[in-house]
Amino acid sequence: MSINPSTPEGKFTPLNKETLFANEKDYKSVSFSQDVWRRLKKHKPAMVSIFVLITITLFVFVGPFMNEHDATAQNYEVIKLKPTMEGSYWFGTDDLGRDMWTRTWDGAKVSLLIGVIAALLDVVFGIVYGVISGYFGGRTDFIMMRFIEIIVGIPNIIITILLVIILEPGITAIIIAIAVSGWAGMARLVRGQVLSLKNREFILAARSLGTKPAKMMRVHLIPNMVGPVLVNISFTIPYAIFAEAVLSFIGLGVPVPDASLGTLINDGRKFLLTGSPYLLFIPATILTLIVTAFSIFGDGLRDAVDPRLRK
Amino acid sequence: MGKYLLRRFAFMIITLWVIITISFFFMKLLPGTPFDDERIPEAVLENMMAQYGLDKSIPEQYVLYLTNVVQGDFGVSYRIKNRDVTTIIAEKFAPSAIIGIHALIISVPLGIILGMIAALRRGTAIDYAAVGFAVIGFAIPSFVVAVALQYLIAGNGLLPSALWGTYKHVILPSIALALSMFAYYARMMRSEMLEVLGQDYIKTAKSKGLSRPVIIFKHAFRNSLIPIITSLPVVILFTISGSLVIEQIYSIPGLGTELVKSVLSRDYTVSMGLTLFYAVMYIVALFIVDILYSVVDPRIRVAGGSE
Repeated sequence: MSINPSTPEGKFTPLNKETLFANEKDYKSVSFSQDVWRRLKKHKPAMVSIFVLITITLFVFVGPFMNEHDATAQNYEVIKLKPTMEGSYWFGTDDLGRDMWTRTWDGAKVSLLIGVIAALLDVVFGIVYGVISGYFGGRTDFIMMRFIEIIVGIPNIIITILLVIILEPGITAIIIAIAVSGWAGMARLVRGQVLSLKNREFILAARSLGTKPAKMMRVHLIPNMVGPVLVNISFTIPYAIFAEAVLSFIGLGVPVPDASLGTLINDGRKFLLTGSPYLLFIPATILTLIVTAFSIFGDGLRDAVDPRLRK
Repeated sequence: MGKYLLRRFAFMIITLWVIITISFFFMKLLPGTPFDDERIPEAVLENMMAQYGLDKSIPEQYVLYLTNVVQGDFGVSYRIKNRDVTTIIAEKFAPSAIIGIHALIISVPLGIILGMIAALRRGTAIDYAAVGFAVIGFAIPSFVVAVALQYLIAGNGLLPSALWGTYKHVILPSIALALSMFAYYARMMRSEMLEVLGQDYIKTAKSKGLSRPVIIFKHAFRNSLIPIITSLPVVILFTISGSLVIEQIYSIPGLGTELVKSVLSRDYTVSMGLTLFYAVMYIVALFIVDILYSVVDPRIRVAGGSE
């Protein structure tokens, strides 16, 4: 039984290329955002939340034009009408005969606007502060972080109230006040991200190539923390919307004749036990939907961005 | 340890000083004075401003306020005659604390129990229901819960809808305040318990042949409590120091309501006093958390030192 090193003719044949690569699929490279989206799609509650948010956003823009009523036009013939199909007062009217359908969607627009802009301001400021603190480290970091520790010692609500009064109540003042009281969390998050990214090889490589700090932050650091920052935004927006509603409760909300969901809810409180609970419950439901959807979406996004954090 | 405590204490003092300074100048930026009333004649107004030292320049007022605070004098209210800030805070603290304590008693144990059940029945309908409840319960704004309770329960005359006085007035606000904490702790307990159940020492306990109750209560339960215990000081202090929203909705004369009133009427001393009160509570809570960590979890003491 000797082993024949040569291939006997006819016993072995070379494979043709088709069979050889039959099992080798052509894998496309998946970018970070595609990967996140792929995982997010599997998170059913998050997908429902996106659907809810898109629907509400649609109504916010289309709703006010769906009937012929104006948000601020008062009509004393139809005071405190219950929700009805008649005269297209689908959400009823308030104590001044204003159409609640139009007012609710306009109010939701103001609330969303406040939430989104305040969150974006938080992000911008938080990123600038956090990146500088984390990147330079040492004494700069120490001082900047001690400052944040001190700032969070003052209750948010006090800062917000004081700022709204100082800046004179209005949508701009509310946005600024909410953003000022909320940036510290974002700054801390960004700093943590920078600290963990700082020791990675690609940063070292960039630095040894002589990359300037400003470019380093813009090109290498910030794009690499988009995930956690996005997750934080989806929690900041509902917080801002909530904060605006709280301001409305103490009379510092959006000034009349404009309305936000917060002021609508606050106005509705007067009629809660006097036969017109819908004046409160319709805007409250929309607000709850928005806030809950953002939080649940944020949960799903967090799992999708970093599956290791999944609990 | 002594040196650490001393440094810590020094930082607390500096923190308080910065907070006093920032909020003092912020309050002075507010438009108007505590005595904005057209019916008050010019001369009387000047006298009033002089009596409270409001005619001095702002830096002078600041130095004066700081010296007074160091000596434990937080000033008198501009709004309520002859009432000093300490008395007002003490008075308003009671309703806030009563509601807060009730809310804590309802929410924390229930949250821990629900979270534990969910973790032990992972993947079952009970688990999904608990998680669903926790997510929604935490996301729903507290004022929506508060007004819904008002409508459903007070609207049917079962309990008073607002105001303060008897024990009946405590129930609804406490529940409204408790819901989100209940949800929060249920979720926290579930995830902690799941994590602990996956640890090696639980496997060891199982392979030693310990019974399930012993494993769950002696090993898993106690270890999953660690983050809950260390989160408690901050939560407790925040809860008992009054929820502005809940107090506003139920018209409760607590710290939150007082804060809004004092700021809106430019009652500087009371607003400053409350800001300081909250800040001190927060700083003390953080301090307790630090100490608790090393008490509850010896692993941190062994590994510690660096942080």
